[in-house]
Amino acid sequence: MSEWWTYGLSDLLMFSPRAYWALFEQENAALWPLPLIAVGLGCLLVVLAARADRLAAPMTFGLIAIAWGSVGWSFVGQRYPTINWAASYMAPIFAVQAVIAFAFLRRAVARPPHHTAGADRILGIGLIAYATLIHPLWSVLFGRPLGSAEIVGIAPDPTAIATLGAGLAFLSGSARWLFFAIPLLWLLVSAVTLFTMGEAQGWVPAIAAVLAVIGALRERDPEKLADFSDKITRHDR
Amino acid sequence: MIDRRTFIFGAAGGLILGAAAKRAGAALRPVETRSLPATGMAIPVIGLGSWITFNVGDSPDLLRQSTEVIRAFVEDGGGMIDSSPMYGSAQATIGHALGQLGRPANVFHTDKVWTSSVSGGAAQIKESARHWGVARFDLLQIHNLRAWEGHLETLMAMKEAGEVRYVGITTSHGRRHGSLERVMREHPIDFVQLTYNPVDRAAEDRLLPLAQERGIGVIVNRPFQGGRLADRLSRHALPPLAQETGAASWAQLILQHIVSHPAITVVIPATTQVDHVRENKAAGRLALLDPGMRRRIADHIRAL
Ligand SMILES: NC(=O)c1ccc[n+]([C@@H]2O[C@H](COP(=O)([O-])OP(=O)(O)OC[C@H]3O[C@@H](n4cnc5c(N)ncnc54)[C@H](OP(=O)(O)O)[C@@H]3O)[C@@H](O)[C@H]2O)c1
Repeated sequence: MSEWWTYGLSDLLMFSPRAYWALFEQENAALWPLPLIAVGLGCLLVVLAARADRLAAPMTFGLIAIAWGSVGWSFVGQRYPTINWAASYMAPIFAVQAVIAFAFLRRAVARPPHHTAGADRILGIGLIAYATLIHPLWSVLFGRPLGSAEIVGIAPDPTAIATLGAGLAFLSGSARWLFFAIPLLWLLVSAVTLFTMGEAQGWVPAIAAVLAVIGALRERDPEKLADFSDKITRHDR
Repeated sequence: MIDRRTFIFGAAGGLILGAAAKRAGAALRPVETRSLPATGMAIPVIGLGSWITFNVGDSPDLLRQSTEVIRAFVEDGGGMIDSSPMYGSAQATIGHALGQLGRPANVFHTDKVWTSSVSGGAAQIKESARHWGVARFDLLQIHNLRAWEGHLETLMAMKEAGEVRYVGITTSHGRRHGSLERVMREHPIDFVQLTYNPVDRAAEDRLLPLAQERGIGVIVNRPFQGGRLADRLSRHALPPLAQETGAASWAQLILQHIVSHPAITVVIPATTQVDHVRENKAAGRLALLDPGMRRRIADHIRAL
């Protein structure tokens, strides 16, 4: 019965850029002053990733879990569906990411993770800082009101980008990819949505996702490295 | 079959039209209308769509802008406003605007049923009416022929019971014209909705003549190909032949071309802009074109 596949993406897109960007303005206004607090918590995430002490990983995963839970419940579950009925189907996926982050929190408490070192960690810190401090500025740079800024922990894109940053800073190996799957999926959806609307901002989620994937592919697992050096030293002995 | 009468769309519609004319400080020529084949009721040839344009969520600014678009439409003769439960918040936006405007009497409330569940059709229609703030619709259509056999039974029963005035069926993008033709031949529907413009002319071959033959009203969607045609043409100068037709813009030339086909009852361009509503409405007051001129327009646009 359905002939969806014969439609182009632009035929399926049911809202205009002005209606999409207005969502963030409404969300920020409805939650005010939470957006301000969220920026503060984003800064805390940057500090935690940079210091990487015992509490850093559990606190980061806790904040990320809360962010996905609240973005999924409020923006994706309630605000976005006012113009896009498909959004209500995406909300549960945000809940799943919240659960995943919570599981990592528990794991980090039981067994503090090896903090990643080198370039991927720096990239991770950079992505969190970007998501918190730079991403909100796109609204103004693209000529939209400051009130429509996309804030980490309120809007999905910066939340997903900060999450990738946290994954780079605190996780490695398959754990990292598990943590990455949903944020990457979201950024892909977001990039396609923005490009379909003809919005140049589609490059932002696309580039952030590609950077995080490159960072993750470059990694050298510290546990494996430790194993390896162990073997070498044993051999020497 | 198509009767082009000077138009008074109900008493209140006439009053609103009069008020608009007074405000403009000039005698406004009445909007061109078409009689609905089934009943002879007259309706303005330029209606209003709502896909994307009125899906504005709860944004107070955008609700206000949408209300102004609908105000301009109503002041300029009103007529068919088309929506669907598929269009996000569009129904609620229209309901909001009509409420703000004091429920103008010259609106031809047109919506759709869009669900694969036949038993869910009635509930969906009720929900749609709640969004619009109306007790009943003037026209209900089966969106994209979805589960049409079952819904058609529901809609015909509603019509019988006086719960809706007219029943129709829609498609777009030139899809499923074969099925549409079958429905038109085999069922007593009042309207079909399909895509037709100087570039997309597949309906000309069979569907438009069949509609005329069977007395079925034709609603034209995507006159500007969802805006793409209007955008593309805006890069080109308006051709000299527009001087002959009286069209002042590409949009008007396109609409004039469409409504000059004798099978067309109403075309429903969507817009977010008050200026565009006025421009589109004004196209309904232009002279109707003969087949030769229509061909020249289509040829010219295709060659660009
Ligand atoms: N299957 C179905 O049942 C079905 C399918 C498709 C459509 N429809 C119905 O048909 C309606 C019309 O189709 P559509 O909305 O897809 O496409 P459309 O009416 O061809 O195009 C709408 C676009 O044209 C632009 N436009 C309107 N007036 C203009 C003017 N005077 N000058 C320049 N640009 C102008 C609008 O932009 P501005 O906002 O800037 O004016 C808008 O973006 C829909 O809204 C819907 O109600 C039904």
